[in-house]
Amino acid sequence: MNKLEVKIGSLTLKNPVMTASGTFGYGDEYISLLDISKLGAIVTKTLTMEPRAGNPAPRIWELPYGMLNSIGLANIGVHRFISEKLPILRDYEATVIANIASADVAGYTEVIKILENEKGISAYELNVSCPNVEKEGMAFGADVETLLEVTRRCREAADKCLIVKLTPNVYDIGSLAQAAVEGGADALTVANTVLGMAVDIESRKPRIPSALAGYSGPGIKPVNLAKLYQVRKAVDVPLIGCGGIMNYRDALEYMITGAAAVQIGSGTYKNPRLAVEVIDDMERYLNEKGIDDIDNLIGTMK
Amino acid sequence: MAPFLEKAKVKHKEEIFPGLYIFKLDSEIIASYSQPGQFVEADPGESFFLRRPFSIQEAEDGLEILVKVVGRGTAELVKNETEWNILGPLGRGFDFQNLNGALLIGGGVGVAPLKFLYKRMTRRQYFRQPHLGLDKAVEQASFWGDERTRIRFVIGAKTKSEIPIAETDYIRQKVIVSTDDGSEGFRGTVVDMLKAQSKLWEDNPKIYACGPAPMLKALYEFMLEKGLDGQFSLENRMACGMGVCQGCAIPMKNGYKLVCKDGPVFDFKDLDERTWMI
Ligand SMILES: Cc1cc2nc3c(=O)[nH]c(=O)nc-3n(C[C@H](O)[C@H](O)[C@H](O)COP(=O)(O)OP(=O)(O)OC[C@H]3O[C@@H](n4cnc5c(N)ncnc54)[C@H](O)[C@@H]3O)c2cc1C
Ligand SMILES: Cc1cc2nc3c(=O)[nH]c(=O)nc-3n(C[C@H](O)[C@H](O)[C@H](O)COP(=O)(O)O)c2cc1C
Ligand code: FES
Repeated sequence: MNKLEVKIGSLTLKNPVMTASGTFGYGDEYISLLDISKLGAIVTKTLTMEPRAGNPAPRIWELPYGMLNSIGLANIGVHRFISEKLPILRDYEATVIANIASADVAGYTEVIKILENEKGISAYELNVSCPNVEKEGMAFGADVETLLEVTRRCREAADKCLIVKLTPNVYDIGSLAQAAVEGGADALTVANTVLGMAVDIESRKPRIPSALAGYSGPGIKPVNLAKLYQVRKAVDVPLIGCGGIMNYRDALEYMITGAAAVQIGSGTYKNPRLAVEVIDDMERYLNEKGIDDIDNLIGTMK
Repeated sequence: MAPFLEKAKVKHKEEIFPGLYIFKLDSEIIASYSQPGQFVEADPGESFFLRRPFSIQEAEDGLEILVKVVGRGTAELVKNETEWNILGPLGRGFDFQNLNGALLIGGGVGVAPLKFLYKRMTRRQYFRQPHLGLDKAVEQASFWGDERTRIRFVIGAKTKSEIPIAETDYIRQKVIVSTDDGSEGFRGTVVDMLKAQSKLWEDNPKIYACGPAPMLKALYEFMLEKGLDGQFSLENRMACGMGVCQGCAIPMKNGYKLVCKDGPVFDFKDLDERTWMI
């Protein structure tokens, strides 16, 4: 029996460790460094209908406990993903979750319709942290009505497992989680990057041209963990913890709090093998503690 | 199929002048795949979130890296005398097939990738001239080429003590030096020297350049004016170093390019005014 196996809605994963969107490319980049079929799942870089060039440079800034980024969803577009990347991922038997986004509600369902008939995609993850052009650029995931609408429309379009990736940059994340579940989400990822900023005191310019950026890394773990705790109380679907995971202990904190799975994000940049190391360490931990099924650990916070 | 992760033992460390170090690392796999212009990303240790990129200066007998201390990460790295955690080789290197004359221009630590390139270029030259006799040719023409091959190496530094190559080497190897204060070689920047000494580029050599952004920008404008062509190795802040995060993008003629994957070596014709603005 596989101790690490977990269920995310209709999806069974060989272990609970995924790589987070935007931090593992399209997966094929890592083939020389690790066995990508070992991962619970690979979440792709956010895919949009058309390729996107991304935001002005510089796009990243390192911090003591993580980094800021403002990439602007630079990606190759859904069509090139299908023709160039997906065949490789299928060959290597990777479990793939397609992360998708759009500037308007209808755009999400169009991307899903294109992916729906492709073999080798196990689920969708909706990136709802991006600005909605129909609502003055407010993030889809920051407004209950919009989130309900986008999730419902995607649910209608998708047979595959549907995951909504929440933004932590809201006060009442519980209501947003409820909206996504009401709209038909099978699972929720908690959460995307935390709003952050840094300023150069010499030039007095922000470190990232747009000033506001996404903060990731160990500095946000307490924030996203608290969000997951709040979401756990609000809804009953499987949760995927994400934010600042740098080792198996961080991953287990999320799981004990109630996550059925986790995503390893920007920690991968320094250690490209981080996700597989977390899997191995997690298994060792279960053996040491005499736990014969990871399900017996999930949500067991006392 | 690269890249690879390696724990590379430090074989040798030398401080060439205050704040500039040569490290020789005991790398097998990364070294064997390395091409001139490619780089590695080194992990400065637990208290750093990201790796730091460094050009490969030499990959014949392990890996040689030139490290200038500019901040916390590099200060931490040069203290590590045991084992470096490196990822590489990364990026696209220089093209040097079908050469008909080359002028290599390095500013400061920008000399590192050019040293590797020069060595490979002149080794190729040697193989094309089997009548020269192997050992002797390697020893004499050595990696620094000579006039017959029309491969010239120009380096610029602030002052004599900051030339990033040992004095015996650059004199013996006939490297052409310029210093801002005139303490060695030409007085002025490398671009000042090119302006003053047209014989360096009149025969239209392919120009290979790496150095600080102001030097590259001045050289870019000079080359545009004179109609010269070549390749530049550029820098940007990096996270993944392998084309994954899209963080190191810089504007080029045909839109954004990733320094870590599309570069760090770019064709001169792809550079643009906007490239220098970040
Ligand atoms: C492809 C490539 C090859 C390089 N090759 C060499 C080399 O052979 N030898 C060498 O000494 N240095 C090289 N660098 C630069 C080196 O990576 C930076 O100096 C180093 O990352 C700074 O780290 P730090 O923590 O000490 O500095 P920080 O404290 O982070 O910053 C100090 C200063 O360094 C600059 N800096 C920081 N990160 C980078 C970066 N990734 N690229 C450029 N500048 C940066 C900052 O603008 C700042 O002025 C290379 C950079 C790139 C992108
Ligand atoms: C450079 C970078 C790019 C990212 N791109 C995306 C993206 O395209 N889509 C998305 O949903 N999340 C993206 N993220 C967010 C991550 O998937 C993750 O949710 C976040 O970084 C928090 O996890 P971490 O602290 O482990 O990195 C990106 C993060 C970084 C650092
Ligand atoms: S550093 Fe990540 S894409 Fe270049």
